[in-house]
Amino acid sequence: MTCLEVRDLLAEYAVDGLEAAERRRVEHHLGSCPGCGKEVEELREGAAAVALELFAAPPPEGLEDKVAGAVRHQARRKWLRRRRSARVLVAAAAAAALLSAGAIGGAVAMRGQVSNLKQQVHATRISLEQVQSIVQALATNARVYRTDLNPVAGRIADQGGTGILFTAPNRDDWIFVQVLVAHPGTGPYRVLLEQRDGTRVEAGELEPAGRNEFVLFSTKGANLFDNDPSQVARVVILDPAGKPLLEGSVVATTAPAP
Amino acid sequence: MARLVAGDQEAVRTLYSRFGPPVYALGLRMLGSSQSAEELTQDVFVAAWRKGSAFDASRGRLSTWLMAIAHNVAVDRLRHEHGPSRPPLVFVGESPEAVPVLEEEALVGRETARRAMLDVSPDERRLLVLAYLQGWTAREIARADGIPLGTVKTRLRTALIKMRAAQAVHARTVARSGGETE
Repeated sequence: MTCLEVRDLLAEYAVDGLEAAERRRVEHHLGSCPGCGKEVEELREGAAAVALELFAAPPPEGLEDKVAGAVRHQARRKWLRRRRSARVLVAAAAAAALLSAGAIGGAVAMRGQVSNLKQQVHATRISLEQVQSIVQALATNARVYRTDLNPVAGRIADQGGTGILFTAPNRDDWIFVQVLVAHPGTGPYRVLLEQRDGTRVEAGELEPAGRNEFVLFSTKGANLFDNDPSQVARVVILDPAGKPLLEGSVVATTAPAP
Repeated sequence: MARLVAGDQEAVRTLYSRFGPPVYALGLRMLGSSQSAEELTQDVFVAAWRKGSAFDASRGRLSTWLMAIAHNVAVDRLRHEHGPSRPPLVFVGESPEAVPVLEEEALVGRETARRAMLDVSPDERRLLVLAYLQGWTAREIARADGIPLGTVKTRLRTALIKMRAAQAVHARTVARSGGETE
């Protein structure tokens, strides 16, 4: 919407007279236009004057206590919700870690059956599906995104990994990455999240978990991808020299929350 | 405001002491019953606590921000409860319930607003009542009054600007005579 179109609607907006869709369009514009924002603030001052003009009926006795009680109740609910969320995530972390250990065990067991790392990578990708389903079951409205990590051009082909990024409303952002590398050395291998706007966020270092295997299961708090894994376009694993070793596009495994 | 966001009870009560009465009065006028007005007042202060971190004192007054929340919540309730039909029109100056007058100091803000309301024309006053207190849309007003939508929009905008300007003038007058303006 242009400023001209928005200003035609601002008086109605100031008195809450717009339909929801039109209001959203105006608010979208106001979010980035200080000029229209100033104008709507002035119109709202006029509207507030109408409210303040009303005969000031004294509120009933006890309403102040009810108001204070309502805020206290909501603040407590928020605190409990956060606490419960933290517990759910700890449970999810534990479950994923166990499955990770299972995957490692599976990979170790498969060493006797498969001849190369490429097949082990395939096995760990299958086991990751269990982690995804556990996270979805434990965290209501969880948004789970997945990436299959493959060698970048010019690197050894028989290595790879998987990763999941997950979050849920009012919860921190989490990431789980598991990779199998051909010549592991001592590391460190670092995990980078490439955002859709081109910026990069460092998620952490992979920990050794087996002969060729490294894992990362951690959170950096709510700001890892701002509760929205769809912001992350790619996951990149850097080798100890800081050069890209593995990379993968991030795709949703669940429908975005409404 | 930071203390309010943190759920500090003293901050909630301080905010209530300043804005509880006008929020309650707005609820009483728009929703028509003391029970609805009480519920609205609680909802508004909970919403203020939730949205408190978004308040920016450099962009506007606390009173404007809080009354905008109150009005928004009231309009939502009005539309939810009454749908397309509207409660009977009550003009400014009348009150749905007989109410005693609060102490003078608490009414300074109201007094400046009352004088501002006298500065707008009767047609503009009626328009503000319909649009702001009754929750009518500009389209509904245009249809009811048989005038073009554009005219309603222009008049509404003019009335709001006049209200703001008049209130500012009266607030300065009150401030010069030693009263508080907000």
